[in-house]
Amino acid sequence: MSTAVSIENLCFGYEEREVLHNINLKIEEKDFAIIVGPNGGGKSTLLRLMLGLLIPRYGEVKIFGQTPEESRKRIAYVPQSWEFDHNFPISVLETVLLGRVERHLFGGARAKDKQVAMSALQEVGLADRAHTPFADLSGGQRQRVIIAQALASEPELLLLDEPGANLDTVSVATVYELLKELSKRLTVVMVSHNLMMIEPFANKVICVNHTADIHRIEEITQKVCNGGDLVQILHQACPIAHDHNNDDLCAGPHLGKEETK
Amino acid sequence: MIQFLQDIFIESFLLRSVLAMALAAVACGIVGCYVVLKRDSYAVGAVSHSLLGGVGAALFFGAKYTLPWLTPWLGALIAALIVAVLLTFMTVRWKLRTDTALSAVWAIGMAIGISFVTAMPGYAQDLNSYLFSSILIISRQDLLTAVILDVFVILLTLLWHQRFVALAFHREILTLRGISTTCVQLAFQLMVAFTVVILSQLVGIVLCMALLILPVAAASALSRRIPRIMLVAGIICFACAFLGVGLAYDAPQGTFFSSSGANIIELAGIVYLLASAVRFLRKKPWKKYEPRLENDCSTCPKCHECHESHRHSEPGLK
Repeated sequence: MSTAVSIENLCFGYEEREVLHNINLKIEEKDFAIIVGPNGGGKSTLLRLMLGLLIPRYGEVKIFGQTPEESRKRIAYVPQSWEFDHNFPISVLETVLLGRVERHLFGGARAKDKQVAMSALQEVGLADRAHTPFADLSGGQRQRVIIAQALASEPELLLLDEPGANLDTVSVATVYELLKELSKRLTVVMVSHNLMMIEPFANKVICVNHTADIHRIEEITQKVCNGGDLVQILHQACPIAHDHNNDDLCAGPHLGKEETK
Repeated sequence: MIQFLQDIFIESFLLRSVLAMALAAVACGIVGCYVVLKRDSYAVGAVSHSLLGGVGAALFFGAKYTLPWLTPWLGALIAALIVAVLLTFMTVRWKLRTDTALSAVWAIGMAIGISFVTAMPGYAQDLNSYLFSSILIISRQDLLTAVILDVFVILLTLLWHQRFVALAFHREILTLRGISTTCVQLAFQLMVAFTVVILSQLVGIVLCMALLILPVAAASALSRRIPRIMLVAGIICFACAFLGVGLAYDAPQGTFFSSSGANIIELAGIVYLLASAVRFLRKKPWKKYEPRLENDCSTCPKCHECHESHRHSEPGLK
């Protein structure tokens, strides 16, 4: 099995503040990896580095052995939610088709694109809403449409940024069930707050967080854990004390002050 | 109006102006739709007002060095192109705030125009005809320019419609799919620039923004499909232009209706207000909200309200 994501000696910071320090990790193909950690710990930053939307200060990110820009067409990204104009006249199918916007230099969607888009909608269970205006859907359905858009681009690597953040428990379960199916044929990397729900089908957990000492350069502690009892692994993976009643398993009580960033 | 209809087929300049309206309506429907969807109507104002700089420069240099080919509208076109490129770089590449960049371009363009015109005594009156242009004085050459610009706009739309929609809907989609946002934004700005040049010939620089926005705003109040919005907006634009010019043609000099540009905008404004009223009434605001009883979470209004799952068989859920 070959490597989907490989990150070596990565450091990244916004202006003066270093957010990620010396990251090394490898995600194999068809892995289901979850990134956990406290708010402001650099989870989304790590995802954006994998997408090539941010450039590392030091070290390198390779996706399928190439830079993120070079393999961009093989990556799909699902953001937390979209800010969009609620009067925007776009149907569900048209939204999904935008996932294939780069396929043709000229002209609109062909029959083949529509076919792929429809099967992506089928997969997320919204094929019957294809011609509904996107704005008329509920939050959970919109999230599924965004996932369908990502699938329509026929990716090999799917990156998701807290897809369950704005959803109720039932919708989250639907979305996660879908991701579980998808992970059988593609690599999935997901930022999540809700570790307990996703645990049964993830095979890797990446903890991204700060050290407690705010006077020093913020450090990052991350470990990639394979198999075994989750709580035990997290104890080993995240040396900082953590609260099991808290969704942020890696967030220590002494980090509470920092959580608001 | 009656006189106008009688004279259309006799006077060639009237026929020309009707043709110009049709050409403008095509550009207005298409480009106006993108502009409104992108919520970028301010960009139209900035481009149109900075055309004045181009007009002024063309008048000045054309008179000074006796260059007969340097017509004011050619100057306007060049200015529009420069502004399109400049705005793209300012907003996408240099990441300046959009509204600040637009205001700067807007003001600087106009200021340059004023400077050039004041440098030529006796021309100040002339500027008025560009600010409030009359479609009745359109030349054969102007018409040809409009045709070329229209072809460009239509071609670009046929080729890149999906990209423009993505740009307006969510710009990040383009970046994520590996498409250069700068490139698409530049194409969009060029379309806006060309359309503004066509429309300025019709109603003048000052009213051009309204003509691009109002028909589309009216159309989008009536439809939720992009191609239909474009079509309806084009028809509204043509109808308003035709009626506005007809009214001005028949009205005696110095009366309320004698400015064709103002007539067109007033008509478009009325259509917009009516369409918005229709849209509002369609929602039946007088009807009381009645929750439906269904066993499906996706259509159950209660589920949407509380964002929590619950059993639909629960008593009291009505």
